[in-house]
Amino acid sequence: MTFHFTPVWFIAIPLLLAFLAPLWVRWRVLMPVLFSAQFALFALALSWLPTVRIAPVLETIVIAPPLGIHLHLDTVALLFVTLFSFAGAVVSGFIWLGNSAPHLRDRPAFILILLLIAGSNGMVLTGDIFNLYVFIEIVGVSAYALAALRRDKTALEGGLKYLIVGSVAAIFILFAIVLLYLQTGQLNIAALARAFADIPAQMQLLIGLLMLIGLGIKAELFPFNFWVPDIYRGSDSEITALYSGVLVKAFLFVLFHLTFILLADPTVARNWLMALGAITMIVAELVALRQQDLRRMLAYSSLGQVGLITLALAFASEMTTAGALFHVINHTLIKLLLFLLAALMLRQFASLKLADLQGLSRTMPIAAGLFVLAALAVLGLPPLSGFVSKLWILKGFSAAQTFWPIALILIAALIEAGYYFRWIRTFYAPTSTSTRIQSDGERILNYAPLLLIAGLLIVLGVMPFLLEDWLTQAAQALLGREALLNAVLG
Amino acid sequence: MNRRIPLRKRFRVHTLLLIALCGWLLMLHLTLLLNHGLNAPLNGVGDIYLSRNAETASANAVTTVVVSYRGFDTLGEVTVLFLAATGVGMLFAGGLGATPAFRDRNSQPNEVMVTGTRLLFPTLLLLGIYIVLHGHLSPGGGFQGGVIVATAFFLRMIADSNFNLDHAQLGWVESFAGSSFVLFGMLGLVFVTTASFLGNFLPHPIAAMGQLVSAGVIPLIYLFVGIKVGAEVGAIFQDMLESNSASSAEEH
Repeated sequence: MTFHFTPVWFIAIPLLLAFLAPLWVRWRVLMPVLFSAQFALFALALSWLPTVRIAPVLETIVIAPPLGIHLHLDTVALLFVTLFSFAGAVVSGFIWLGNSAPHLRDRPAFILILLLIAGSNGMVLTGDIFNLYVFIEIVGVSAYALAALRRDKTALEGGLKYLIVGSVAAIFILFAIVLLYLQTGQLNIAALARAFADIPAQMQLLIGLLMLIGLGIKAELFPFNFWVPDIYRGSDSEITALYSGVLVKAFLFVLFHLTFILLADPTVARNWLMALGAITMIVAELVALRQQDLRRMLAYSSLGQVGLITLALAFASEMTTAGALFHVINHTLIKLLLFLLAALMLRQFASLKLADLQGLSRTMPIAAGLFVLAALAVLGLPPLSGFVSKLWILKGFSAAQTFWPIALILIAALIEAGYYFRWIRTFYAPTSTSTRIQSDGERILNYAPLLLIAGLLIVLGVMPFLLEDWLTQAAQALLGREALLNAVLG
Repeated sequence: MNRRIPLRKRFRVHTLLLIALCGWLLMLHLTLLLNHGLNAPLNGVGDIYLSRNAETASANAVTTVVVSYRGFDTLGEVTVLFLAATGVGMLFAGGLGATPAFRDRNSQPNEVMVTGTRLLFPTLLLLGIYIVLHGHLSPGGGFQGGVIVATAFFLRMIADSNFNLDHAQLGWVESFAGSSFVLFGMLGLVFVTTASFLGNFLPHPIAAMGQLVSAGVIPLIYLFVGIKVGAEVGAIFQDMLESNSASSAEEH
């Protein structure tokens, strides 16, 4: 008998815990189990870092790669798995400690959150394209149900919309996979990459288009992201934090992983993706300027950051990629912080409209302070980690003598400053007394997860060298097509 | 209502663009499929699976692929169904209020239905169990058999208004089957002989191929899949019937 750690744990343990849900209901430990599972996986992922940095871990399931399914844990996959488990731990900790609404502490929410994270881990880890589709389905179905979790009119409308849009996207992806299998007879991503060049050029274009539309919808890229704000507006903020922090990041990873692996020369695809990223960023930031509802504003701001990450990842130089991966981490942390703050504000004030939140700093000084911190981190001001990641991205572009993205990123940051400061000004404006519905004081336990994130934002901003080696290696792993093909196929 | 009209106008443009794009993609898709798609290579993954089938000693090659070679996908699909059942249970619990009552559960079902179900129920149950247990020998398996068993219970539910499946018990059954599937997968990881998640750690001599007890863990895992699928589909039926009766009870 042997007992060794494998990447399978990141998927099998959450599945097992989800299937055992009746047991946790009986013992009344749903939320503690959810939190400790995510935390344990986070610790496990971190403890694996030294091993994975020496060589990627390849876990075969039943039969060896080109035939069977395998999980591929390299530095970039580990980065995402760590990030997802951390986000899961923070959100479940917040729901557990922070007295969230009962429907978020119930059995369905437990199962859906657990499997959303497990599915995202699977999407990042798997080396088989059909297995990838299965995980996309797991993530999709849990996300649709989570959107409707509150079961009131806006939530159900959001859930239904998400279900339809998401299923259409999944069908596009499935068509692309069917065509790939028809053309090559392979399902392993590495084997597909070897055979992809032999597919007729027109067919390659069709497969690429189908993939781009399917994953573009899921990863919220313009012009496929018209559905996003309605869903972010309708679901609970705790859940939206997971959408913006985990779901989108998993799909972005898949989009770029497939682009860099399948295409031997990704120049055309890169140009398309850079254009899409740039348009997404500018359009979303401009629309965010006019939003009157905090959740819609955050949704558009999230889209803008996704555009920035896409732009930097698609450029595919080592520097911009490392910067983009760092920005993925920062954006997840910041949006977790902002959406969880929105959840706390919604509990104190009946609405999240700009006008109703006037003078919020009087009743919720900590929340207002954290909002300012998060806003500064999004803008990329020096002591915070957003500064470092944006700096790396800009340095990468200027090293390659490409200046238009730099201009666009700086313009986008200016627009961002415009709307974030508008909200901050409202928070610190004199109070309009009528809107407060309750003031049970600010429980410090509510803020524990948020203060942790704020601390991390500062620590990573002051000491980016903690992550620098890891991120550089992750960028190399994401871009290193030949290394991955050789590792899998020998 | 006034607020909704500009929203719809906004969506009409998107819809038209989307339809045009889909139409164009469909044309492209069809042209390309007819030109290139039909000359598929011969030594794809599927053909290799078929030629290696004997090593698992499962007479049904499809089952080998579903439960062993691509068992990880099957675990994923079982999870998708589990999520769907959870979602349906969540949405229907307590009734949505606005759902129209399609039938009144308190009225007497018609005589043909009652007698027919009395005849069909044991047969369907037996057929379902047969299909699950013979999944590694003949066409069918856990998914198909599980749905047949659930359908048998569904017929009982509509034929007899007093017959109800207990949600809590279904939950335990389904929880047992699902966690056994994952635990069997982990056992495969633990044993040295397989050292792989979902590895076939029980003896599966080729000599036994075609017998009921053969192919190692494959029939056991398919049995768990069958139980889980049956319990989940049964729970979905029960949820839908309950919400109907709940909303019709409100009307009376």
